[in-house]
Amino acid sequence: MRTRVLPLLASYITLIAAAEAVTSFVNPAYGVSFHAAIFFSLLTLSASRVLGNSSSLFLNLSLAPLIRVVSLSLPLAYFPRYAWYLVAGAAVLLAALTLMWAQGVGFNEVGVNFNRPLAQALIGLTGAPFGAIEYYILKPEPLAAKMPLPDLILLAVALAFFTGFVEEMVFRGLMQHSAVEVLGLRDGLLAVNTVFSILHIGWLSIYDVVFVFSIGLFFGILALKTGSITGVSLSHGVTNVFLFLIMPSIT
Amino acid sequence: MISTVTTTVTTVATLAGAATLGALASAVLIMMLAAKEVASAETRQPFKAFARFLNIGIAPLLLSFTLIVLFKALEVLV
Repeated sequence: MRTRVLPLLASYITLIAAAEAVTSFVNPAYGVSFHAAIFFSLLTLSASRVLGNSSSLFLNLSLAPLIRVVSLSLPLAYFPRYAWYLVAGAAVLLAALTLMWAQGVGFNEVGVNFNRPLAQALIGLTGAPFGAIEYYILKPEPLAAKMPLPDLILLAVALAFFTGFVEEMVFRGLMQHSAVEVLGLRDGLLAVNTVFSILHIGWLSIYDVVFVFSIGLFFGILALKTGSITGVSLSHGVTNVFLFLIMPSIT
Repeated sequence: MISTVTTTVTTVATLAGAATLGALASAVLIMMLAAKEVASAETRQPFKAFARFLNIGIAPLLLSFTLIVLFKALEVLV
């Protein structure tokens, strides 16, 4: 089964990369149509059950094209920039929860638990240097210039939860869980992190794509070792807080 | 041109571009709802599974559609 699944998975990952390239470099409307077609195709493949137990891998992969369709369709321009994470994160969280319900998967199975709390807290701290490094790669605009401190704290919490937890639940909790089960550790980790880094093409920085791929591998291994996505969610959230809030205001 | 902020947050630079993408996503939502109706009518297992899986796309796009309608209505009213 694995020999049938791997080429098919590689083909879908290539298609997602092509759709992301069309979205970023050609025309977002064509890109969204391309992503929507891939999403339909993945749902059809998963529902057909021709791949047996591997079907769940393709169903979980369908979240990647869906993320782009949903994020580009949301009327984010009507919201202040700091609310984008809440709105987009809520939409993706809704998709992830619906996917879990459709497969009958529980929170513990996707790593939403508090196993080894001290280790999770220490993993969370790694977000600070990651955020600083990514800041020097991307140099993003400050997200909240001259924002009052209470609002800034709320923004940091929203940013950490809706980018850290939601993205880790999708990539490490759902996709990696089924990818490692079907493909084994090495191929599963490589496949999921390729998808994760492909969705960062929009930054137009090859260094960031490589950086995100490496961080994704690191998060993936830690999530597997601890059996929880709590620490990596925290680290991912802290990375984004440093990248968008702390580093732009102190440099 | 799009601008990526994080994996889940990507937006287009212009309101006109955003409107086109909103309309496109609404069309995708209608297609999914239609496909769900057709698939639900079938009794075979793959069709039932397909109908259930379509909810994964329908739920977030319905949220997006609701927000688009809400803001458009506010634009007209205010």
